[in-house]
Amino acid sequence: MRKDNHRWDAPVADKSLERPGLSIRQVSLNRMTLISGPFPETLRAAGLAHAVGWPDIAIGPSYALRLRRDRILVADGPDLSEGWNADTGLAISDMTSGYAVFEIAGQKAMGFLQRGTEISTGKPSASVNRAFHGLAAMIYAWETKECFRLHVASPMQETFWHLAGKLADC
Amino acid sequence: MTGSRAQSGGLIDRSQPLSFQFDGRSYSGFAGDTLASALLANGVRVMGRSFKYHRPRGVWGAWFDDPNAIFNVRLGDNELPNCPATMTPLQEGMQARAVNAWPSAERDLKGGLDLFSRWLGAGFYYKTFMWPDWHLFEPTIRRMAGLGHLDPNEIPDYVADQTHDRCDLLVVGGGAAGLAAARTAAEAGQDVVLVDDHPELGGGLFRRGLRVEGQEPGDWIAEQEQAIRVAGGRILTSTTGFGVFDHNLVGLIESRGFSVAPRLWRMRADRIILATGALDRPVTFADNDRPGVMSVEAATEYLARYGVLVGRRIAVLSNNSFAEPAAARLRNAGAEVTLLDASTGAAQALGGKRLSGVNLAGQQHDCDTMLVSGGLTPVVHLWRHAGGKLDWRDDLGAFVPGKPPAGMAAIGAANGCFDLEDALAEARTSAQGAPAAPGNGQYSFSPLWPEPGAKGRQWIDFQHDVTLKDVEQAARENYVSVEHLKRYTTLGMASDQGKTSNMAGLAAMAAIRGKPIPEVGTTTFRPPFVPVPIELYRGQNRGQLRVPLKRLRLEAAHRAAGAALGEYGGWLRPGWYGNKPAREALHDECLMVRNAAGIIDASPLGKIEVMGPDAEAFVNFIYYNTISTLKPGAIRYGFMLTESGIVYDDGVIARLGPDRFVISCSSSHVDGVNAMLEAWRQDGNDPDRIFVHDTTANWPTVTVTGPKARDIVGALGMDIDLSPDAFPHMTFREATIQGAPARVARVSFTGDVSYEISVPVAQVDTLWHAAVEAGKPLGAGPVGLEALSVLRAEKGYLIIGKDTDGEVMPHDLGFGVPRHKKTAEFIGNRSLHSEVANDPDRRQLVGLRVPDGAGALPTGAHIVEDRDGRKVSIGIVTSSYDSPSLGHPIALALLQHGQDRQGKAVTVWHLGQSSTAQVTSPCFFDPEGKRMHA
Repeated sequence: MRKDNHRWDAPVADKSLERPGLSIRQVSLNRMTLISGPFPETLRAAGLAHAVGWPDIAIGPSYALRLRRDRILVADGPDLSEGWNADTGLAISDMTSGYAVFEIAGQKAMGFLQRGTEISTGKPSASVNRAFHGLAAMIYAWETKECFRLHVASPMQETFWHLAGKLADC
Repeated sequence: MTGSRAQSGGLIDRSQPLSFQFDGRSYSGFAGDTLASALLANGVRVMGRSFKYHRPRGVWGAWFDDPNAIFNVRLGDNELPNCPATMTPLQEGMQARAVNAWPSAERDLKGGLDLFSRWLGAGFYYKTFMWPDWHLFEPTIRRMAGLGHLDPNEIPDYVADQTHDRCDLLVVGGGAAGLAAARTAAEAGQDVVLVDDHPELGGGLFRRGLRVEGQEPGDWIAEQEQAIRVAGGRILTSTTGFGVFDHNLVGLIESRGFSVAPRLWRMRADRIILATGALDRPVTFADNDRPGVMSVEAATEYLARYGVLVGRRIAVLSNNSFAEPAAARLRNAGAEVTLLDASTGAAQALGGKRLSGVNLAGQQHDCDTMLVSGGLTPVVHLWRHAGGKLDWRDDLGAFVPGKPPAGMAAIGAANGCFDLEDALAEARTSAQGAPAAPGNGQYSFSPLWPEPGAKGRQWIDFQHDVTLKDVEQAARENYVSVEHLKRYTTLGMASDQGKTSNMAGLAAMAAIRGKPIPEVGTTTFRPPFVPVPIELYRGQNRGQLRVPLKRLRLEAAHRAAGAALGEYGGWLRPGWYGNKPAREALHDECLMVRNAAGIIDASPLGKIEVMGPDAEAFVNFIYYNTISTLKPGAIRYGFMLTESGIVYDDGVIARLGPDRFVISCSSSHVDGVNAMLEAWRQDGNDPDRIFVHDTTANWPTVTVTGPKARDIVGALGMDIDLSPDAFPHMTFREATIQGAPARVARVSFTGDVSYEISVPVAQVDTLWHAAVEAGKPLGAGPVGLEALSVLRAEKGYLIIGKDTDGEVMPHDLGFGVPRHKKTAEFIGNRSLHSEVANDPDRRQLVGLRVPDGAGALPTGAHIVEDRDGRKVSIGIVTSSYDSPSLGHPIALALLQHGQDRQGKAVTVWHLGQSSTAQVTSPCFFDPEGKRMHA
């Protein structure tokens, strides 16, 4: 029976930091939807033409991230009915609360990412899935080449934030 | 005093004098010096003591090839152990001490050990200290054997920076060949990274003193450097490639100063060119370890880089053509140099701590310094890390890179190409991706290998005091494999890693066995090539980031409620609430649940959705229990087994529709179960007809449990009928709370009426506070994991991994029906019918009850039986608590023939204390289940 409160920082409410050439902040997406099934069908359900891999740039109010051969995560897409859709052969789950999303921007943003994962614009990947310092994450460019978004499972957001503070000072 | 500083020359900055201490004495040097070069310039010869015999040692090399001068260095408040003096840049105020010596390297008290050397040969401790017990001697031997001293004070902010990068071409080594290759590739448009371990580029160009393509070395180097940068190439100095790993991943360590932790680069390169040069190797002769005996290459390096003349009267013993030009440079610097003919006979160094001369073939030559070179050994460590083959070249007397590993080439001296012009041509060809054959140039060599049976003590490995006689002894004792030789004698271990000792050792063993050197082979080259601090690998893997826990959305609310937070199955969760002592809080929370209700943050419970037309068959295969008969809206408890039939997880599964299930596995197993489901989905199943989504993070859960749970949940405003008939135990409902979706499961882990309510993250704060508020007037409140552990044990419910271990099968837990009745295939099925599974002596889950007034049994205690006067363990206590509800201690245990022993007394033994207990059913509370179904 241990009381270890002192060993773990209390959750941080305002997750934003600024360093020269680097800014990191938590952003909120209105909806995140996990869709599994035949790839063309997943896009059709999302109403999108393509899914973002690496180092593609996600642009627009709604976009899809390709996670693997048969799975995408749709950001701010249409409100889809959860469960198994026999007509389209798609499995759909709401994950709006499941991921915490962080925006990493600035000239040093890529250097920040490289401290957590093996990533380079010279090495493309069909999937945005990465291990970031051991955390399962999705990483992609958003709007510009110097702005990135990173999704981690919600229960790991405090860990990511603690890590981000350390890496930002490297 | 033999070494001295030249008036001019070298790369040091004479305008920046630096003062420092070594073994308590003060010295001075210049910016650009290493500790070793500064000490040599001050005439210091003895810089260390050998590992075993405490023989006085000076420096052999000038860089990573020196095995002797190893210091503990303090700068300000910071101290680092085991710093190689030849690679540690001098800084103002440094205080260095030789390791393995006291009070100083010059006057080491343990120096007398050398007098007993004849009894301390290879493996002496294996033979000497066996009686009466090795462990009696081990602590003292380990204390004597350790090198360096670890400062217990942590250096503030000493955290390695770790980063990843990639390039088209990584060139390791910034000498002439490396620079030429990097420039060629960069100008051809490749993304090039050039690394060199010195602060300055140039490699061996300084010491060789040759003009390069018509330019002075410094000018040529500067031109190459500029051209590489202009072409977009990147250059990392003070950076060493210490290992090559899978798929061309090269570990680079970048030095960032004494008190600053180094940076780790994980560099992925499409192509790697090794331009790592070659090392002078020692010559094996009597007393070749005397201070003042050093490599020819080192002497010219000290002169060229640091402006240090290592001696005044120098004798050179060499077997190759590089000795003469080196001697000429030393003569030009003011030394008296004598070239000795190594072919005339055996040599012996004369003198003690100060070299006085050398006896060669019976003729004495007076000298204060002896420079030796047994030939050049290409630095092939990284090549071998990558799996590259080695070829033996008789004309060089060396192993050189042979068949290359994918994406790797070696050039220059590292490839056995010792001629400058040939090396430059080879480098440029290789940089363009073409294979290049090294030229032989002007280098000539005649063999000069150890001669078995030679007189005197002849050192093979300076660092570990391995002599030629040790190698001969190892061969006599049949340690003839070089790998066995290494382990038996410690030859080539520690920071030397064979750089100076390997070739001599191999050659000695080859000569002893009468075999050519290539037939003896080499030992295995392993990273790291140079010593690296463990901090390099640690980086940010410390504190809260070492084993990070998953965090609850409600953590702030728990902290505000005074929760004691602790790790439970990879999550930071409340153990109990409030300021009372832990046991008192636990007691009160247990009674609160039994008398009113408890509100528990159960968010970590798994919510893994399995969907698709084959979902039903799939979960029926995954579970030990039959799931295919489960109706939509219903919930079933079940086990997942490993293929060995061992219980891997327990939990409930809910059916949401004909093609949709939600698996609620145990909190600590979510990631594992998810991975297991994915693996089986893709193995033997059609992955286009089954999909697995782990939605645990999306659906935090609040559990309300206790006789007043229905009243509390009823106050939350959900749009479902909570009456027992409409919403019975083990059923599932989808609902809404204030417009938000909610999933409600009537399952119980306490034995009382329970509702597990899962909502999206954004709604859980509201739900939690609403439940707590609704509970207050009823005497209910938050309950932590410690109370939950007691409550579930009262009911006989399991915690997998606590009440089970890696041998427990479901029938050991009283769940034997599917094993015999389930007709569909399931994971672990076959193993449940094995001889092991049918063993009548298997342990079975039971409850234990202690006599009135006795305390709770210790968890982990053994249940023992007396057999022939010996205590034999027949079981183990897995869970044990004081039960506030029942008013007496309870325990769960795994016990052989547990069912047959019901009602019988057993002996429980723990740390020498015995007690008795009565075997009971594991369910102590409400065995009829009336409260749960209420």
